Parts: sequence; structure tokens; C-alpha cells
Amino acid sequence: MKMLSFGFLLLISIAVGCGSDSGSSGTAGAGGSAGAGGSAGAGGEGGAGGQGGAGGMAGAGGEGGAGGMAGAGGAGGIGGSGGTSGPPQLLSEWGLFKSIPDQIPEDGLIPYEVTAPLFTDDAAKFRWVQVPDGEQLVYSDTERWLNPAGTIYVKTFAYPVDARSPELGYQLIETRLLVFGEDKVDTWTYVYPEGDNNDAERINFGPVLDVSWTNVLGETISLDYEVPSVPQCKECHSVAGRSLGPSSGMFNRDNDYGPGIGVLNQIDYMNGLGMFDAEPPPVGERTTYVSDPAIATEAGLHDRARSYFDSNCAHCHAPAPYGEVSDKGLHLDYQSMDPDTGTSFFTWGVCKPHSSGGNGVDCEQPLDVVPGDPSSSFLLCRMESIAAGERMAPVGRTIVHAQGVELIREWIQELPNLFVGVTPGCPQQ
Amino acid sequence: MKVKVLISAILASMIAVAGCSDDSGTTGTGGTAGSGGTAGSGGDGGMGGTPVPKGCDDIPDASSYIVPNAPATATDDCDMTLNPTGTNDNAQIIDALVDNDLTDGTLCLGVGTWDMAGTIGVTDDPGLTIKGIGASPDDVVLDYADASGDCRGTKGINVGVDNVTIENLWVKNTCENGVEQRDTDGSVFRKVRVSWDDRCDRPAAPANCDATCGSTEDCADDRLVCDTVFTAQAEGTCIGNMTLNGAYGIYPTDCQNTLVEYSQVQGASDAGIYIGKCTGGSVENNIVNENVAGLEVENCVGVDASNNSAFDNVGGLFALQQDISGDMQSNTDVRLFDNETYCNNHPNFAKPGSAVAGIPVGTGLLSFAGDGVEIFGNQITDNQTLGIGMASNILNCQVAGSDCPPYTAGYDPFVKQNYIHDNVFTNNGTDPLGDFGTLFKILGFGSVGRPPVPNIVWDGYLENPSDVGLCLGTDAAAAATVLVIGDVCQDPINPSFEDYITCAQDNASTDQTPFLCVP
Repeated sequence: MKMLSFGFLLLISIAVGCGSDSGSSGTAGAGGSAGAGGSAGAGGEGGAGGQGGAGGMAGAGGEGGAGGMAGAGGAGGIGGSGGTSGPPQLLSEWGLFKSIPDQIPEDGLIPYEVTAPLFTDDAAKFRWVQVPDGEQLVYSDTERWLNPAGTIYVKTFAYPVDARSPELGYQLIETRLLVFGEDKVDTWTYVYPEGDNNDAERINFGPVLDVSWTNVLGETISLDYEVPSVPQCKECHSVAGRSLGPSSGMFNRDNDYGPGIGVLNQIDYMNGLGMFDAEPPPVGERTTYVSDPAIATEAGLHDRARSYFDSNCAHCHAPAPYGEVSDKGLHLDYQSMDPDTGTSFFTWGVCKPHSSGGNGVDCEQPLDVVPGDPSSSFLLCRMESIAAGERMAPVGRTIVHAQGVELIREWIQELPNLFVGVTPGCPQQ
Repeated sequence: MKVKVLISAILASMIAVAGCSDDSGTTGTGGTAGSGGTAGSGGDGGMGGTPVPKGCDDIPDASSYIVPNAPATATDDCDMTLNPTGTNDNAQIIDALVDNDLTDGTLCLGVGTWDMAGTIGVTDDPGLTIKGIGASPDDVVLDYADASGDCRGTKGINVGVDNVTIENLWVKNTCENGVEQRDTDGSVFRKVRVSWDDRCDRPAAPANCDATCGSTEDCADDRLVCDTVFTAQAEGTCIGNMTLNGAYGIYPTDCQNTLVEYSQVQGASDAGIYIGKCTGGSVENNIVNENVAGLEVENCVGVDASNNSAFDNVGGLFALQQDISGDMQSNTDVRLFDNETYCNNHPNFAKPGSAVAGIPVGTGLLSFAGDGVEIFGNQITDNQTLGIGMASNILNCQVAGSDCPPYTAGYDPFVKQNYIHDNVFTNNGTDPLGDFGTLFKILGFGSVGRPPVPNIVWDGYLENPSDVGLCLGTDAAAAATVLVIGDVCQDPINPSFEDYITCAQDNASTDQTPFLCVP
């Protein structure tokens, strides 16, 4: 925290309630027991920002704000009883929100949007990040940022009641927390009761929810919304210190911070709050993924496609250590798909035989991507499949993302025209 | 029971086609037992100390857990015990894992059928043991099918931390792999049974499915989808829709020091047991049957597969080096020994387009593009296309009539330094199938009245003329017979299978002498 504005000091003082290692001592005790977290050892780590701190926070009760920095109180509590682990059962206990129904965050919780969102069954998403007092994100222009222990990302999934009538608001589905510890990441999921936006309850194994809403066309859309389980979250949120989205490419865009602040570039704003360890390059020189890749913009087709791949595929399909399936050799992260750095087309899936191919009934193409021939491309087929075990991405999607499919179809069709060295078809065909 | 009878009938017909019974006389002393073709095990006893290798007549009933000599599983060392309720049981397992620190602990699963609506991920507890506390894996069933039989979730159990043991349970009907381990060290899979229920009612049989495959009764072997890849050999055989089964039964990858033992996998639409991109570890004393590939060791270093039994797969045992970019490593110092691989003549039910769709039906063992693979002490019996195949990746594209792709830097498509010795070959290659079957027959092997295909068939392709691809040991009398097509036929640039056959006719050799060596 080098340069703190007055505003940020305010943020911090209130953020304490949500901070990792803070909490009023008295209530922290309560938090501690809640956080009686499995092992004392693990709990100890957690104290830095994992469950332990969280427990303390719960006690601190965000609003109180008073939550003097009793510091490690939460962690201290953990040593005890073993048995159940620390995270609060209710979202409200984290003290992250001034109002859960209205999704109004405490002041220390910084809202953000991403340039290229992950498609999750058309859900609306509200996102926030909180970095603990005295800590900073390790900025990189190309790598995913490194998050200090105690950093919390918060994401709420919701559907509009009726997209034609915004005043009707949203039906909240779930709020997910990503909590960084010293050498691990915890993933907690809170699900709202049907028709009740007041609070959400923690679950480990996600239910399948019947969700329906009315879209802008007045159509009623119904789907079986699959809440991921905690272990599923960790399949991809598994790299200590890093999350999936937070990076220059995803954050370098404007956001409306509301009255008194207005519209600012997100990285500039966060930098002004002292949230980074290093000065980011100027806005125009930052890596930036293409906003809304489904819409043709002046950005090139490849940049739109690689932005889409990065957000929708690269949480698994990326080189080690980032990609859970790095070994399969299909690397669709933004950096691997940089045509200027000599990355091979093969790792983009071009003429690449897939190594296992999932299980299902729809896709029988032997090659991931056949330039100029979308219908022969296994990758596209799996994007179009909704069969369990075959669809891609496998988690968070039960319906087809039509716009994404169209984008990638166009990209495959045009590949021979985009790059010298890519010719239509594949030698194996 | 009707199904069982029908299975027997189908097996019998397969055996007849395979010629296993006909040729069993050639097993020498086995003559008497062989002629029976009836109750297989009869001949085993009295052979004067040398057991008769198991063949098509000896396929056991694998409808329960039958791995011999499996160690007992302790049931009195549980740190936590859960019992199935029959509803949403995966939730209670995940709750137990998430809400407790079970590092180095033991989570016991009680006897019964567990209703599994999703994947069990082991992400936080290194050293954890999850085990069933029944008398055998059959007693603790994690069933991922819903009431209508459709699979739920993705993988069955997904291990992502070190030193985890999964033991004494049965994973059924997963959408994807049964049990998976990724990027970890020291996992043990012991007495893990993985299978998929017969699903003759499953939809999506291809349009060209044999018309007789309409009813459950017709679907005699419960093997569904008519084979679109190997139409010839599938003709007249209604194979059930095993194509929709999960790809792999047990799937450790990117691992170190994994042990897979006393496990039994049936019905995987890719490989029953796969170990890939792993360093160290072993796969031993397992049974793999009715999978496309029984057991695969792929891109591993220092991995042993021994004392396994592979039967009734499309192909039995595999040592593979595939071109996968990324964290590719070569398949070196891999040993396949003291296994039995017999009667792997199952119609190929791989998903069209998958890598294993091209496995020739009737393959006992295949060494593909690997370096330093040692294959010894195996009993290889009644595999109708060939006993052991050795192939380069170049042959793969050549047979497909396509240019070989540019390989990833560092990938070696050639077989090198393979050492194959002291195996027992019995009655293989008597009726070879597929494109290679055609080739073998053209070369004078495997037709009626002709000798069977030699023990080992190798494309003979070399990167450099001085390379050693194959050694059979130095004892000519004990060495396997070979059929080597010839390096001269290597043509990755402008290939066609017709040209390949012509070349093979001019150049194939059965001369062992160049290979009487020890690498």
C-alpha cells in the first residue's frame, strides 16, 4: 500500500470486516469455532486469509466496521476442535455485502467486469475483488496476476426476472468465493433459496436447479442450472496464488464506479487504490482481450477468437502449470495463441488428433481443428454438444452458446486466410 | 440368464471364426484339451508342470470381481465411515471431504449401492485413503447412472493431490473416466473395479446398424452400436452400445510412482487401464476385459506392467508413444512382462474418430513408436490377427493413405531398442482381420491351409539404417518368429496402402537372424 488516497483509507477501514486476518477479537472467537477447520495446520495457513480469517470476519460483522484489526484472532481460533471446517454456513456471515438482496458490497470490495466473460448458461454475473490490508496483487501484463493470501474474489450468478423490465431485478442463484491462502485456494459456493435473495447457504455439492427467466425477446427460458461442486471448482482453480480471470487482458476496460467516481479504466482505478505491486503500463499498451467476442468489432477475427478461447477454454486447456489438461497439448490460452511468438498451430488444435475425445454421441471427428472445414472439427462439435461427458466446457454450461459457436466456426472457416502456413484441410484427411 | 446364454453363443461363434478351436492342436501337448473346445479349463492340470496358456476356451465369467490373490482390505482403521442412503450419496462424500481435514486419513464407504450424481474430487487431502469396507469391490458400488440408466457427472473419482489410495470399491456407469489421477505422486488404485452396465436400450445406434440389432434379445452380447469402423468383422454381430461407455476405466496421467493393482476393468470405450505421461510406477495383477484397449502404457518412463490378464478386448496390451504436444515425454524403459493376453478378438466398439478406433481386432500386444520397451515372459494366445505388433507412427498414416503430419519437435515416430524375449505364443494370427489381416493373407499367412501370422510383426521402419529396432535375444531356437515388412517400404510422403502392399510383397522377410541380439 504505497499511495493511499483518503478514499482508500476509508475502504480499508471498512474492509477490515471482510479482510483476511482481521476481526474484532470477541467475535473472532465465534468465528474461530465456526472455523474450527479441519487440521490445525491447514487452519493455520487459512488464518492468512482462508477459512480462519473468514471466520473472524464473520464475527466482525462487516458493517460494524469497527472490527478493529484484532488481526490473527480468527486464525487463533482454529487450533481447537478439529471436525468441521471454517467457512461460514451463510454468505451474510462473511460480511461482504451491505445488502445481499441488492448486491451492494462493503466498501472494501472492489467491483470489476471482465473483457471476455466465460459463458455460463447466459447467467448475469456480478464480480468483486478484495485484497487484504497491507497486501498487493502482483501485476503482470501477460500472466495471470498473483494474489496474496487473503485475497477474495466474489462472483454472484443471477438471472433477470424479466430482461424487458429491469426494475423487476434479478433472481440470485449462487455466490461463489475464491479465497487465497498461503499456498492454496479455497472455493466456497453459496446458493440462494428459490425465490429468496436475502441470504445464501454454503453447499459443497451443487444441486441442479430449475431456473427460468424471460429474455429481452419475451421468451421464457428454462434450464437445469448445474451448481459446480467444491471439488469441481478446484479442478481448474488449482494453481496456488492465481485465479483464472484476473489479468491485464481481462481487466483492461472501463467500469462505472457510480456517483462520485464515475467511469474509469479498471486497472487505473485499482492502481489508484494501491492494489498493484508495480505500475502498470499505460492503458493503450496493456494486453487487452477483446470485449464481447461474439460481436464483430474492428478487432480481428483471430483476436476475438483467442479472447473467447481464453475465457471459455483456457482454464483447463493451457500449458502447465495453468491448464488442468496441459498434457493433452491443446493450448488455447491467449498467450499460446499469439501468432507472433512462434507458437505452433498444432497446439491450437490445427490438424491435431485429439487424445481421448470424451464420451458422448455427437462428435466423431478425429481432428480438433480442420482449417476451412468447421464441420470436420472436433473442437467445434464439442462446443455444440450438450451431452454430459462430451460438451465443452464441461462445467457451467448445459446449453449451447450460439454466438460463441458462430465465432469459432468463422475462425475455423477463415484460418487458411488468416495465417500464412495454414492451408485448407489436414494431411491426415 | 438368457443373456448369459447368448453371450456364450456369441463367444462360441467368435471363437469359431477366430479359429481358436480349430488350431488348438498346434499347441502341442495341449492337443487333447484343445480338441474339446468345450470346457476350457480341462486341460490345464496335467501338463507336466508347464501350464497351458489360457485361450478363448478359458475366458472366465467376469460379471463379478474375480481377480485372484487380492489382498484383504482392512476395515478397522477408518477415521470416518459413511453409508449409502440411496439418494444423492455423492453429496455426503463431498461434504465429508470438504468439511474435514482427512490428510493422511481414511474415509470408509459402507456396503451398498451409492447413488452418485456427480464426480468425487479429491483436492485437499494428500495421503487420503478412500476405501470400501465390504468383502470385495462388488460390495461397495458407486453407481453414476440415474434411474433411467443415464450417466451423471463427468469422471467418477478424480484425484488431484499426492499419495491418495482408492481401494476395494466398484465404480460403475460414469460418463467419462471411472477413476482419474492427474499431476500427482504416489497414488494407489487397489481392488478398484470399473465397469459399465449393458445398455441395449440406449439410443443412437448408427443408421447403418445391423437390422437385426433391434431388440434386447437380438442384442445378444449387449454390445451395441454396429461397428462402423470394422464393418466386415462386425457383420452379423450385434454389438451393444458400449461405444457410449466412458473412455477409460482407471486413468492416471502426468503422474509419478502410481500403483494400479488387483483392479478389474470391463467395457471401457478406450482403454481399461491407462497410465500415461508417468514416471515410475507399476500396473500389476489386474484384469482387463471387453475394453477396446485392455491396458495402455503411453509416453511413460520407467513403468512396469506385469502379471496382468487381458482377454476379450479388441487389443490386449499396449506400449505407446504418441505425438502429444505440451508435456510430451517418450515411452522409455517400459516393461511388459509376465502378463497373459488372450483371445482379444472383440469387435471394435471405439467411438469412430478416436485413436483406438483403428486398433486391429485380434491384437495380443502392440508396441507403437516406443523406445526401449522390453516385453518378456508373457503368454500370448488366441489373438486372431497377431500376437505382437510393432509399428511406427509413420505406418499409421501410410495405411490411412495420408501424409504423415509434421510431428512435434522431439517426437520420435520410430520403434527403437525393443527387446522381446521369452514369451509364449500360442495360436495367434490364425485369421487376421482388417487391413493388416488382408496384408498378412496376401503375404501367405493366416488363411485356411496357410501358416498363422508369425509371432511378431514389425513394419521394420528405421530412422537411420544403423538403428536397432528389435532384438529377440541370442538364442535362435527360443526366439520368436518374425515378419518384418521392410524399411524400404517407408514412404511418409506420398503413401497409399496399395503401394504399401506391393512393397511388402517384394520385401517382407521372416528371417530372424538380424534380430538375434540383446539391446
